[in-house]
Amino acid sequence: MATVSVSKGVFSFKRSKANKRKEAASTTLDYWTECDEDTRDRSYKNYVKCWQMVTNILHDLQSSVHAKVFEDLVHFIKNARKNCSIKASENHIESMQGQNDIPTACLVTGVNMPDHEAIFESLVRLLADGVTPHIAQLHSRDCNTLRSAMHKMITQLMGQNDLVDLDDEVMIGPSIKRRQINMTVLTSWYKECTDVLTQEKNSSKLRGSTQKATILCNDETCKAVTSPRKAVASPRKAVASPHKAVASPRKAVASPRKTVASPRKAVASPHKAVTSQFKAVASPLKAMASPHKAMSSSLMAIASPHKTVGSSCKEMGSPSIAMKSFSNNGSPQKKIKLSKETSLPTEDDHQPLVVILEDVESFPMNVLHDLILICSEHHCDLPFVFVFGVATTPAAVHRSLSQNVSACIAMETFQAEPSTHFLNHVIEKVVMSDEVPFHIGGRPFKLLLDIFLYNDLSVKNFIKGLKLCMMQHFMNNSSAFLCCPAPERASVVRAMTPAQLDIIRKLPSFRSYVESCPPKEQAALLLEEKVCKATIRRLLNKLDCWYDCFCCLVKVVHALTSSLPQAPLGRQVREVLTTCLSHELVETEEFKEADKMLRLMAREELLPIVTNIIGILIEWVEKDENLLHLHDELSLMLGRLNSLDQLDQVNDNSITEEMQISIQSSDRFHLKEKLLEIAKKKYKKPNAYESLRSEVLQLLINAFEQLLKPVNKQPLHEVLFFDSSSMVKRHLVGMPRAALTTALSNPHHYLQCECCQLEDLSSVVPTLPDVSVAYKLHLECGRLINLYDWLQAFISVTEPEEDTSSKRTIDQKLQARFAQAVSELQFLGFVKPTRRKTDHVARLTWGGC
Amino acid sequence: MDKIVSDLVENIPCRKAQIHLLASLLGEDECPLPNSIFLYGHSGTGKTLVTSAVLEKLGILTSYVSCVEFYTTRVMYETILNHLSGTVPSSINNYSSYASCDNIGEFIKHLRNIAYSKGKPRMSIVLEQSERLRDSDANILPVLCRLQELTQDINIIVIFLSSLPIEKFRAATGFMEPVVINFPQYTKDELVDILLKQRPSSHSVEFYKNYIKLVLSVFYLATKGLPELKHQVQLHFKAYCEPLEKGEADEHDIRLLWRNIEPQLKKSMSSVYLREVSSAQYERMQQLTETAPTDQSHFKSALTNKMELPYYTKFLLIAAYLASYNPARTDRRFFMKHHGKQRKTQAMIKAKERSSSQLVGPKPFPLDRLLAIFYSIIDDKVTPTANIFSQISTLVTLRLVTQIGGNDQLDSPKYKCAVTLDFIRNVARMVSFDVVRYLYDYA
Repeated sequence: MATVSVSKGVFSFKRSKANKRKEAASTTLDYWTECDEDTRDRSYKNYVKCWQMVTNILHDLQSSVHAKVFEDLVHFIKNARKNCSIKASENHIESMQGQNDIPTACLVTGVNMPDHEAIFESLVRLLADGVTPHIAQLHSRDCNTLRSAMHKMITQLMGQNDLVDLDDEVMIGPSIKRRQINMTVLTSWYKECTDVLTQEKNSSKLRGSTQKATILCNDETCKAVTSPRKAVASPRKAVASPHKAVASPRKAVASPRKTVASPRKAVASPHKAVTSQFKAVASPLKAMASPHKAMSSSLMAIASPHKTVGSSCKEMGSPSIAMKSFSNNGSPQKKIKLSKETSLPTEDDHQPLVVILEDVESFPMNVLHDLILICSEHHCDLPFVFVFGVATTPAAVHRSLSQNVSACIAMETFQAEPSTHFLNHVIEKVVMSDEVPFHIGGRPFKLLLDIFLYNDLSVKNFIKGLKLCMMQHFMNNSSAFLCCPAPERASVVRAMTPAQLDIIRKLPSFRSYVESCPPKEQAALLLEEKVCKATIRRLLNKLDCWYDCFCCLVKVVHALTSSLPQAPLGRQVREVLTTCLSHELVETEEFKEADKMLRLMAREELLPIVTNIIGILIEWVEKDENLLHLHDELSLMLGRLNSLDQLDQVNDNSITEEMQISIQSSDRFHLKEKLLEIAKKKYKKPNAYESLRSEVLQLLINAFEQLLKPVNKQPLHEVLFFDSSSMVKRHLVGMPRAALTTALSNPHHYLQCECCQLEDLSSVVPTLPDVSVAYKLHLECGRLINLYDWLQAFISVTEPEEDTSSKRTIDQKLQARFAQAVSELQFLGFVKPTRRKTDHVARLTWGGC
Repeated sequence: MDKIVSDLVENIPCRKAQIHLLASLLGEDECPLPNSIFLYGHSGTGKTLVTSAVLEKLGILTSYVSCVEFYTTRVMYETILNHLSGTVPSSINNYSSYASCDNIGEFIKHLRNIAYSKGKPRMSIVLEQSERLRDSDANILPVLCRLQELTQDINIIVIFLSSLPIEKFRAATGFMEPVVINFPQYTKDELVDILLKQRPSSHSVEFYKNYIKLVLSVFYLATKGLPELKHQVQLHFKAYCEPLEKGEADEHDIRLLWRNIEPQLKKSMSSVYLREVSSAQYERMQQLTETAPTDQSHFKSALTNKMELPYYTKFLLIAAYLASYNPARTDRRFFMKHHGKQRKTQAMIKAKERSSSQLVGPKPFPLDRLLAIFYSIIDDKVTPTANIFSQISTLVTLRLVTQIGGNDQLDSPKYKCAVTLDFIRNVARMVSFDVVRYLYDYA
């Protein structure tokens, strides 16, 4: 976008409302580096499908992983108010203090900042669905002053700007001038809200007694309801209808407040004129886009008499349909929300005002103080409930609050699941999934894990990295067009063009597979299309099976080794997975160490492990016969292990007998010798348990050896596995310092220009940019650099023809260029001015040429 | 008048003198009101209670406002005008207040209008937490002190409630001394009397008095604030009565009851003012202790002290701590392999004794030094990636490290470590790093 302005100011542009997704998709596709149009489309489609699968899985995970803590939290918020009053009455102690305590949920979210957004998003959704429509979400970046914090909180509580959808700013609730907003307004607004609800309840209670009145009223409302329906057929007309309430959009938005009163009256006094009823129904229709409680309840108030009389259910349904069709310009989600809102149970007339502070630690302390004090001041009128998002520990909140403030809140701590737990789920469901065709190889997986564990503990970043891997795989790997969900594979293979077939034939793993085949088949594979396609299909299916089996065995290895002292293979599945993906497990040092320890394991320890392994295997038994075999053998051995008891005892007896015999000799030397002998004997002749143990282990190790081969041994692994960490690393791990040095010492790397091409990186060429020249020259200096010498060197490089004897007159232009280069170096942190010596600068980095 | 006062004195214990003074200052019926009154005393000494009761009894039109809320003076003016005129912002008037009022001149004008339209009643404005007014516009306090003067013939009084004495309020110009009434802290006996007021009807006075005395004996040294004591009295009463309900003791068996409650009281001493757990959760925790005493410590530590940091972040935090608490000149000694031998001289030992950095607190350090220490204490080779830098800013947002000045690289920001030695020890233990060995104070 451009402006006509000549100023250097920064201009903001509003995003165009055009369909963004489509646009984005087409642009991404443009970057797809693939010569063949068909293949490109194919792999792009595969990518989209793959990612869609992953997002679906992640979406389910996201909601389920925090389910427990959210449930507790929602329960707490629901009951916060109730508890308060019950407590007061229970103890018979009339205490103002108890009332002033604001119930506060302290949600400990962990230090992984990027994930918090998702957590609070789902929390807000949950609360809005079932607990209360009054939610304010405060973020420290918006709350630098008390004024802005208060404003933000009150507007959100009153529902002035939509929380869920920021794209189309729909005003709901009353429109209030910005400067009018204060707590008094909030208080009175809330009072009206609850009044409406209680009134409604009362009226529904009264309904039984004043049956006649309701019927009377019903007739009128019928008219009232039907007429707007007509109006809805031509919405334009409805807006332009002669009723006064329509006047201006501003008023229309404000009108639900007014209507709130009128239906109530209508129920109470059925003699009211029809027009007032009409107004009551018509105006909510206008402000329909708002999912606001009070408004929808006013609709319900009108609709409810129908139900009791049972006259015409259609009539009752119609307003909501009308509402939907009318608010067509809103997003579809909103419509759903709206109808949900209408069906909300309204048994509790004191819906809490939930204030969520996402990052309590970074709030300015005085703002937080005053906010809490103000809320506690109004707590008797407004049932506030705070939710503090705490990244560190709840103690941090106390540390930052003064005692009179922290006495105002009654805190309860909720611990969200740690992100490592979430990560384990993600790995289990996404990386080790058998649905998603794309798999990640050992190296990139290790890179992603390292970023997670060493740097941020953020699952969101992990998923981002995973997405990048996937993108790279589909973009840069020409064979990725085959990487589609298993059911589609047959058709894709069938539709392969000869060119695509060639791509596959060129894959190193396929070539080595061909070479290992008998010569007859080799020719067929390379020349005959049909045979080749069938083989590819078979191999891919085999690869799928292999990966399933692989994942299962990884879990088996984990079960086997995780409880060992110091856990040589790691305590988590992910660690075992990284090892297995890139190395042959049986050959690794770690496994050998683990094996050593396993061979010394006692029966009591081994038994649960074996049972555990059988439990893991049983899930996979139907899928793979190797595993079935393993499972059966292991079960047999488990049986033998269990029945070992008697045998063992016999053995023990024999040993003790021997011992008794040996102890007879009284000579010390002899005794020692004998004992050694016994020890040797014991070593030579393992008892029943020991032999069984080694049998079990051998069985497992054989299975590992056979099935736990690293990925790159499998034919066609390039199609499904992404195994290049360097490509992803460039994108995920930013290295500012390294990039800077590269840019300065070898500008060609970034500029890609002819002039800067260097054979030797340390050489200085006049065509290099000035900064680069100055940088290279400064590398040759010591701690302090004489500016004049530096300048001379600079000139001699940039203008080599110039005679060195004419030192007196320095070209002004050159000097200016030098000065600029030096100040740029200073800006980049390579040199700094020093006072130690005149006309010198100090070098800040070490090393050099 | 006397009747009113005696009524009040009966309802509000231990504040006889203050009630008398206030009532006599305000006078009855048509009496002219004093310019302004200043009440001060700690929180929970009955200022608000006494003021509101007296004003209500005397039938004075009153606006109670708390000064914390007034982030702009405009809010204050409009709230007061709303209260005095009886305007309630609602949907009917589109949430507008009595009048929009931006400055003190308009405020006075509107006050006069209200007074005239209501037939000049006696009016009062009660400002709670009025110490906050000192931070707002400079002329507000003097104007409020002289409100009667400025509004000419209106019978209006401004009552300041504050927890600070009047000395802290005096402004340079135009300040008029209000009448000062002090609300002293309650004595122990008075506290017993007051707490006795909320005795549940199911228990006798004697029994409840004993209970209160027990609670006071534990908590009085820690806090004298009435609200907190009330909270504690409320919190533990159920547990205190437990032996009674079980039938193990009767009301006079004070010693047994005391033995029963003592450990619980002592435990909650450590969390006075910290409402870390709500009463419900507290009770749940108590139950937990009963069922599994070993579990409890685990439960509590899980609640408070669990914090998982990424691996490099832990080292960054340790490096920040070392940079904050070690003098920069000693870095050579701690972090270089061949720093040469250092001879301890008498002067050095003395200097060390004089300035224990643990007592002085953390000192600021530049980013470069932090990174240098970080790279020297971490064992494996770490590439200086952007992730490391972003972790520093994460530490700042978590308030584990505070930034001092400078928002970008050019200003060369300085940092300070804001965690305690215990904390850093825990962190260091997790990565098996001996932090104490590197600390100047301990090495």
